[in-house]
Amino acid sequence: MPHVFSANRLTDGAVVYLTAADQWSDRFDDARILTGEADLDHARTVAQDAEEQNLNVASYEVEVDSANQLRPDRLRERIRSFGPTVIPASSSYGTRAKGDHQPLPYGGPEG
Amino acid sequence: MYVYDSLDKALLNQRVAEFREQVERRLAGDLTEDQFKPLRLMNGLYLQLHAYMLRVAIPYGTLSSDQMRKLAYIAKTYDRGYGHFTTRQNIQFNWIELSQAPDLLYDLSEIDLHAIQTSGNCIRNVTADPYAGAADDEVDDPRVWSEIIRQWSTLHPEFSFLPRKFKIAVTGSDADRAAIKFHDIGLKIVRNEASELGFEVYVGGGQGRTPIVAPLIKPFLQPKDLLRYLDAVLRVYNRHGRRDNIYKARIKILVASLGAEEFASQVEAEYAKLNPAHFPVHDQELSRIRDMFTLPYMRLDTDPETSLNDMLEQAPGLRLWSKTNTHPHKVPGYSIVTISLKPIGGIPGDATAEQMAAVADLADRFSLGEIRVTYTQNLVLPHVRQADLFVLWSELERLGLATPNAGLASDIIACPGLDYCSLANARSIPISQRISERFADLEVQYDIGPLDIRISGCINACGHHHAGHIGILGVDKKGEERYQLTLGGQGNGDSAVGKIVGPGFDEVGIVDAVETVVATYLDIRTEGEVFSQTLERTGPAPFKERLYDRG
Repeated sequence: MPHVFSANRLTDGAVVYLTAADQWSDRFDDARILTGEADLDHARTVAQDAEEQNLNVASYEVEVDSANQLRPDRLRERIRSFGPTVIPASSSYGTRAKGDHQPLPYGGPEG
Repeated sequence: MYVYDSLDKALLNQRVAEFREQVERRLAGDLTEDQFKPLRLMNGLYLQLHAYMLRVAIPYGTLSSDQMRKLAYIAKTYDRGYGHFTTRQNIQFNWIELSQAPDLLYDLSEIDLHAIQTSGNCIRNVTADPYAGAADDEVDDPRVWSEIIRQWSTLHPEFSFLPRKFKIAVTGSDADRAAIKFHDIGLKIVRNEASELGFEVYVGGGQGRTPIVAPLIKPFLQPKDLLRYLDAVLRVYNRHGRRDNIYKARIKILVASLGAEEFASQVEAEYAKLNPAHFPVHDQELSRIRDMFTLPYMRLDTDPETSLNDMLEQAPGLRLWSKTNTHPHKVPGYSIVTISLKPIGGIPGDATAEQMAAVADLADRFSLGEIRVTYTQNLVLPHVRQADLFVLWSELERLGLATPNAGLASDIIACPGLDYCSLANARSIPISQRISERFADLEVQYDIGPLDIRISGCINACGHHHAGHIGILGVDKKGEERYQLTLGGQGNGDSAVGKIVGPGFDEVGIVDAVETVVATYLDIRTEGEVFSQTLERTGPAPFKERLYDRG
């Protein structure tokens, strides 16, 4: 399964992704898709450097699903990438909670 | 309420300055993340799914209006315009930046708020009955003792490296609106046969992976011995609590493994070694603290009952709301008001900055400037004249804070769950929203009567699902969210742990399952029986049959 590499930015905790240019972007769509062990090894090295340089913390590999537009495979990672599936009532919440969450098929026994 | 003296302020200022320096060193790379993390946690700052989350302490759930205004300011300035009131009477902000945290903590300190010891393996915020000092059924005000415990436990040099977190709750009433038996230490203020004030001490309760109702360790503890006894309990725990396994590190495991009697005996032995002179609660200091919690002059209505009845006649909406959201006050002509943070379909426990600021203003106008936070994630205005109820209710309606559902099916406790929390396995907030919407009809909710529905997104049970009449635990089953249903929990008073009824459900099925449970109750209840009574009478069998054997 392909991967992306993610971390949290030290200064503000924002979720960031390793790009093709070995930079870190807070947009999932900028993430470089890593296929194969060589890709992953390189990403691990870059991620470790970023931690040692106090740019990021808690970096790790995230599996993405080839059958689902290369979105993160686990729900937890999708929420981490695209924001909570619930929208607070706050007027200044912003539009961060954008993404590809499937609408929950609620409606009770009648549908 | 308690007002910081110069010592308190100095301690807080030093802590703010210390953490500012620690953050600067971290950002400069002079501290590694491993070195910084325990320091960060001891100041209530977590790294969560989306960003840093800050948990601000609200000591025993009591806030002044100015403090609430400051929380509104924090939400607007440092976060995304809202905060989340928690099941430990604290508030959490979900979108904090580490680089701004020192300024945020400085701003909090200006109004005597902080995030000290809201995380980490230390003694956490002491929680208490949100009706403290106002309820007509309390023996003594638990806030007095909660404040003493707060001072004793803050930056305690011996207890800053415990095997695990430590939570203390205090009630002054049999009604136990603090769920004390689900805490590491639960204290109930009582009077003995000689009418002397003292404490029943429960030790070793908790939820999480191993839910346990705390046994009674000491039937009567004199107030003058409180801190010495607590010290003895913590010393036994600190020495013998497990540090090899994080899942077995709470004091409840130690108490269960030793047995309550042996544990109590070890505490007494430790207690005997401690010098009473080292644990003074001088009468003068006790009086000073108690005075701060004494009610001021409260203007009485000449005929409170008539005034209230007149109002209730005029406004059916007020009548409904007052039935569920007001509670008798010890002063005639006053009420304790619950402000529901559970609008139908809303996120339990969330409040916008605008709502927080408005509640602060309402507290000034109607509640002597005081607000409480409940562990069920609502707010309370503790001292409201009945003559003011109509105007207050009208204002709350305008703000979307007048949902008349306190203690009813839509007054759901839900942890942040997988939408926010890095520990979670499943989402809890959307489940609570769908259940709330399923029971949106208030007439239906009134007919159902008192019903505690509690939802946790993982086994850590921050949503108190073990203590719900209906509990829901979200799990991860092969990458899919799955929800287990428990029945028969009880948080307050006669505390009990709920039991799983059978196989779990998916996110649609769990909402249907809750509706089925409620429908079953409505079918089989006898006259006047509330849900918990019916369940106790019949056991889970009729509910299981409806859930699993039909269709």
